Amino acid sequence: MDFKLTDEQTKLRKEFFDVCEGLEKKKPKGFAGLEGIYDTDEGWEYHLDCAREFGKRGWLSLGWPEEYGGQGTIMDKVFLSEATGYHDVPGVDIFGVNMLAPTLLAAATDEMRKEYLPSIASGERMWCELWSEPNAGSDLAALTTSAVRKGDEYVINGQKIWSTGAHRGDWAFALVRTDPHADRKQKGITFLLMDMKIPGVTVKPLLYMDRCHLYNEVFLDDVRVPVRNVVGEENQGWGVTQTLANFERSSLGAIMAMHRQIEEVVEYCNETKANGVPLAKNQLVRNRLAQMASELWASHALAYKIADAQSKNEMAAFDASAVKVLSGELQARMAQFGCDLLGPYGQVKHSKWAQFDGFFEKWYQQSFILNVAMGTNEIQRNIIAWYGLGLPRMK
Amino acid sequence: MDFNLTEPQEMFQKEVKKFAETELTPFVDIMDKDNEFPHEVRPKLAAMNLYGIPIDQKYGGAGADHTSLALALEEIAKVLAPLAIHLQLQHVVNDRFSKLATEDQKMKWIPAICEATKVGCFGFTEPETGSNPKMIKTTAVEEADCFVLNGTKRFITNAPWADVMCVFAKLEGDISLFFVETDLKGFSTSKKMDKLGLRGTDLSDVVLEDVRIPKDHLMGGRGGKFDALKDAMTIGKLCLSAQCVGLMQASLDEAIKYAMNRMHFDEPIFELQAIHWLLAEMASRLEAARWLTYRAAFLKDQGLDTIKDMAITKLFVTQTAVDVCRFGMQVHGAYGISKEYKIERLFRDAKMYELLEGTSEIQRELVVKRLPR
Repeated sequence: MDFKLTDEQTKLRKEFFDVCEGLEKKKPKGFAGLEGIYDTDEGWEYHLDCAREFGKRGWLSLGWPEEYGGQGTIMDKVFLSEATGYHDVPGVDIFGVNMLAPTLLAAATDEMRKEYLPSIASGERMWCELWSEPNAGSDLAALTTSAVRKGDEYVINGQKIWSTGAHRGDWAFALVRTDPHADRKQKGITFLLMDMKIPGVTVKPLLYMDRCHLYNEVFLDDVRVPVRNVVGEENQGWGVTQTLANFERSSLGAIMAMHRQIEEVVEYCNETKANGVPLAKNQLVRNRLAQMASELWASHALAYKIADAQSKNEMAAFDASAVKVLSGELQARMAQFGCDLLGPYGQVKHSKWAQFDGFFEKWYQQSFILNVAMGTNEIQRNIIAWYGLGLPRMK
Repeated sequence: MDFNLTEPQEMFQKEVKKFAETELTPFVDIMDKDNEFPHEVRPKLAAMNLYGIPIDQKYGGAGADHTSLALALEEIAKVLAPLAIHLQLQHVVNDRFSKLATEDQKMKWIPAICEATKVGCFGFTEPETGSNPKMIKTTAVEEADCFVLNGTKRFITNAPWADVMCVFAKLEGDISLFFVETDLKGFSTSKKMDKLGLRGTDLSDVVLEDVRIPKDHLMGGRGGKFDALKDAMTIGKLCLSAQCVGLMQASLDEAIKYAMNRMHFDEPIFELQAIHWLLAEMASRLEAARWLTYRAAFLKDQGLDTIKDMAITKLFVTQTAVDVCRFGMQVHGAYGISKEYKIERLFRDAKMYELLEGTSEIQRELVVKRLPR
């Protein structure tokens, strides 16, 4: 067991942090997190600029085989996500780079990899996902969007929901039902790729509780997609989905973002007095900060372990579930603490009165979704119970 | 010990519940979405005598008890919490007038507030003073025939359109309480703040620049009004706690409704153990919070309430409300964030209660200082 980075890793990690520090200075005012990327045109352009910068350096294909334009290792990718998380810099398309690319490498044909990976690596093409449906969320396998084969095309009809960034994405990876009569609902699902600009695709905003535009409903009316866009085999999409879901849950970006939040809060506490006493000397503040810092380092250690396991193709599903639960719930508690720390100022939106530029008021709302998206924490706990602890499978 | 409501309390609760559901529901979007206060609702609230529940009937109040006040605020908060906050503040202002004003002043202001022809606001918090009243900077300087007030107050609900403000200021270094007509020269408000929750309650800064008020606007004599502040805050804490009970009940109702209708894995999610856990936690915590609040109202009615009782109530109930509403969101899954469902508004509103009328941290200090040693 060795937690130390090599000299080469240390140097590369520093390079990631230096570049991201420079990109952070160009951040539009008010930009924060995922909402920052998708909500405004300015944020989206900033995301594309950062993507092109990373693409130019080959950083969007870290850990890929060289034959597909890859360089470095999966751990290098982890270090980049630490840097982007810490500086809250976009540019790494969570759908294309973090989810689809590893999935294509694991499950797609060589031809498909050569067709789709280059534009992910360059940052030219942005992706979104078409998974959940109004009646298929936690029970994703209950999806009903149909794909009927007609010659060398599928004709797709249905509705997707909670599609992050579908109003911005160029392409999507979608789950569709190709066999409505399969003996198990998981068996009749196909995973395919589709252009978001083709006829029949309608995207409608689904505003978040703070009225920012992150999510969408996507209506598919007689959308025609070539059969060759299937990843893996027809009716075998559920297995591809499981592969993809685990890559997403192990991201370190959020953990580094929390490290940054703690640093900024500590600075604020050192500089700010309440009732004449620095907040840094307030026992309750110190206690809560210490608690969160401990939990954060525990999450960080687990995330490194997952990254290491991923790099060796040894990742266990319940590890990813555990870090998802830990870091997501910790983020919600940190957002809550930030609001509490600011007292009545914790309620104020971005304005002349707002502290931290209104970050915690916004984050209090935004952090909720982390415990619901990509499998609710209740589902994650079930996964930990079944696969991690070997407990009987229950509903 | 008797945990039953009296017949008048029960009847009043039913009337307010029905009123809130039928008359206040149409104002939800105006307040939460548009962040506007619907002034047309004020005569409706007045017609139900909701502005004067515990106020003496001689001043136009209902002459009821604080338990009735708590029940009314609970029912209103279930439907539209910002309106409950608005009502709470009128009660706090009325309460200050009824305890500290002259008879003429009481007759001038209290009936008008009860009838909703006048609106009050309460000015204590300042930009750098939230938790420690002794650090307020607003001053009152005595001149021959008036007091001159200077200072800034922050987070003042109703301020942009209030007619009168109760203001805490230092007179010769001692905390005193004044009332100020808002149309006096030198009284101004900032634009209203955009907030996480309790939207539509019109919160702003108030700036007092050489505001001259008659000498009789000093309430209850010189200095020593720290007690008046503490007293006002105990009413405030009871009112906030009652509203939180309403928010929690609404969250539980919404969560159960959603869970009964949402199908997953071929059955309503209500049948899933993970959902059972969430609902059970919500129900248990709500009941504990409810009875602690009703106890606080009882103590207030008996004149037995202490700062410690109210701090404990506010601390426990507001924290519990945040947890319960968050569980309610979790039951809703991704739909929790959608404006199609009520729960996200309840979640946002609940958090506000931890931050108002003294944060949870301050309540802890108040409790610890009064524990037996």
